[in-house]
Amino acid sequence: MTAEEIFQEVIKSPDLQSIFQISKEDLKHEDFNTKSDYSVIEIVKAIINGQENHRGKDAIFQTVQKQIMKL
Amino acid sequence: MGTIIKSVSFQNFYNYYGSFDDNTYRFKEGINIVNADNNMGKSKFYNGILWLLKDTVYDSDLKRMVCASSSFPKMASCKALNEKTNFDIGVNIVFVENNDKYSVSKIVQFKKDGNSWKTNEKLDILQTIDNRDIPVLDTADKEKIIKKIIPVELMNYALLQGESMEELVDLSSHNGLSSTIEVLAGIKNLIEICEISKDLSQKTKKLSNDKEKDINSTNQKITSLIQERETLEGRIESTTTQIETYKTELSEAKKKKETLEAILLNAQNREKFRGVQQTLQNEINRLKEKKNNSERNITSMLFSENSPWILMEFQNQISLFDKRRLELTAEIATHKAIDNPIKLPEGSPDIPSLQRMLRTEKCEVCGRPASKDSDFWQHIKMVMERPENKEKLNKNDFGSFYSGIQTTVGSFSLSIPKIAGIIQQYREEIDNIEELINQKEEEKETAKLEFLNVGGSENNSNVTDRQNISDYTLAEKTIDKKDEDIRKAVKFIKDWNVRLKQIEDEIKGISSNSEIESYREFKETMASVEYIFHNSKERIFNRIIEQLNTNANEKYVELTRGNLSTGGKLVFQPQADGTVQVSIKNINDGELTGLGTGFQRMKQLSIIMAIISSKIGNKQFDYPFISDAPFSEFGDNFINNFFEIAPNVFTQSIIFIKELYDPASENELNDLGKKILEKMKNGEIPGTFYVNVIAEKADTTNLVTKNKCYKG
Repeated sequence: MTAEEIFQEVIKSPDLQSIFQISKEDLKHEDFNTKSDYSVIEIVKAIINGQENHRGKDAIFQTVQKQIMKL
Repeated sequence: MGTIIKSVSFQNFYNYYGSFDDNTYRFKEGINIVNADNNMGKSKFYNGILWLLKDTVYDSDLKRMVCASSSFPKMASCKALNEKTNFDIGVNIVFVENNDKYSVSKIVQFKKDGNSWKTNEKLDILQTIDNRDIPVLDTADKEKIIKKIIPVELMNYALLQGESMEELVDLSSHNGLSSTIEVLAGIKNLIEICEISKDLSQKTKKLSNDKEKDINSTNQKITSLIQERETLEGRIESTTTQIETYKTELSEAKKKKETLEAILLNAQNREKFRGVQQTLQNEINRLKEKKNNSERNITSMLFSENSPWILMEFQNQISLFDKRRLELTAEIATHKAIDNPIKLPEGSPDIPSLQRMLRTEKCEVCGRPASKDSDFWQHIKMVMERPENKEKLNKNDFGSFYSGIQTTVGSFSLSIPKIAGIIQQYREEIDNIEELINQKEEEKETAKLEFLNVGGSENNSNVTDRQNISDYTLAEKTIDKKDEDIRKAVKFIKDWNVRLKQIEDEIKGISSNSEIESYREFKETMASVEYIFHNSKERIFNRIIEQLNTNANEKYVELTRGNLSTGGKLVFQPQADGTVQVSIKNINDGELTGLGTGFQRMKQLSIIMAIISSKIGNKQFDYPFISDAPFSEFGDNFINNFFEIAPNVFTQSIIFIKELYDPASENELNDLGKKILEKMKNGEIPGTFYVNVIAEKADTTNLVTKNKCYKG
């Protein structure tokens, strides 16, 4: 699966609605290449990108940490 | 566009004697048939592909796969070994993959060294770029190019050998169907993402916990709570690992139970029919003994005291005897009359009367006196003294003799007429026993057939069946035990999580500031992200299984179409440990057993076709499907069905078969072969059609295979 396909699959997850209270409508407009207002979606993208670009786990963690702290 | 094999060539490889040019098969998209009789190079062709792709070959003497290098002398053409001192053997495959063309050659150089041969193996790969052949030199690059023909993970499904087809799809191991699904769906990266997110979640948790510990190091209450939390988290982690082990054990036990279920049903049936046979044999033995006894009794019945059979039909003889006796008596009397002239008339005085008359000197017949010694007195005396000893003697002997017989025979006079009926009844009884024996023998033969039908054999001991029954019981117990272990472990984790939540709340209640809050939020977010990725992967995996289930059943129905018996339906079941089981169920969802090898192979072929035709995501199985003797257990109907649907499933297939071969036919094809060739020629079936022939009749040491291309 491509990174974008994986992202689309994750977006379909009902858990995003139940745990993070993101509406179905908002999820419908989420795009892999457009910055999201939801931090969790940005974390998801960071992990997918990190894996695709063969970045180490520590490097991905740093990116995610920076993102979440900044957000 | 995936991988398409353009040609396969051999050089002095087994009975493919001669150069690559002498032994080339050019293939296309569609079905490529190599039709050959036994020993005409089908399995050798297949071995060439195995050697090139996997460095192994099937040794028909050892009946197992062996490392190719250990089999070089067998792989060399006997004719070449006999004629030459320096030659090469080899296999060459030319293929295109996404418009890139490659030529891969595996070659072994043979050089005579005294009485032995020196061998040297080499791998040459050329890549065609702008119509120029560029040699590939890097070993890692060479390996990558070979994997382009068929990736290692898919070889199990793309390289089939008929006889091993039943065991081909490994449905139990992690490297089996589940890993194939992962490869086909291309979710290996998603699996990696799940691992990354799990690792990040743990890192975040540690970071948050450390931060809490650091900030609250002077608060004894919080320190104690944090310690308890760490202990509980440790327990949850180790118990979660333990649950995974339980799940694996549970899955193995379930698989064992499922495998044994079918065997067990047969084992129980075997036990039943073994018992039936034994009971019938005992019954037959008893009846035979009864029959023998009855037959032995015939002798004694012949001379029975009460009703001797030997007198059968003698009832007329008694009256005859009586008649004869009377006649004889009369005859004797006549003889007496001749011997004794004094014949007294009826009513004449008897001896005592005569004696009295002599004594009283008076005739009592006429009343006249008869004085002593007078003529009259003398006459009476003569009559009295007439000879009568002989008469008396004869009379007494016959009387005793005949009356004895008369008495003995007389007692039988009533039973003799019944003897024939008694004998008839006795005979009928023996015949009935005989009939019963035959009937029991037939029943025993039926029981034996039933016994054989459920896998019994002359050599099949009940020990194995009892062992299977015992193993089945053990598997059931293991399943119960592991279910209980998992239930308990899950309950522990649940309780510990409740306590963890309480601890979290307690810590939050005692110590709370914005910095620590942000770390806690980070931790919780990452735990949720891990959960979401994991669930997404599970969702995709289950969707693929559903898709495979549908596709496999479609193919199964198509492949078994036209068969008189139904083959059931395939059911894909994900297991607790992540593996996937496929079973054949009947219409009531019960286990379908007793299917023939043909159906079992169809099941495997259907799964393979489902995997291959399931265009999972954007992925498609675009690799050649190569199979040696896939139809060896299939009837014409199965073969026909296969040829009809295979082109829709496999982009390219190369099939080695003998089922279309007829040595007596002009073009070496039987009716089915001619039909399929015709369909190929008129474009109904895309592909090529080759027939292997022997160049000239020879023993195996000089056997040379050549090919005829009927449809290129």
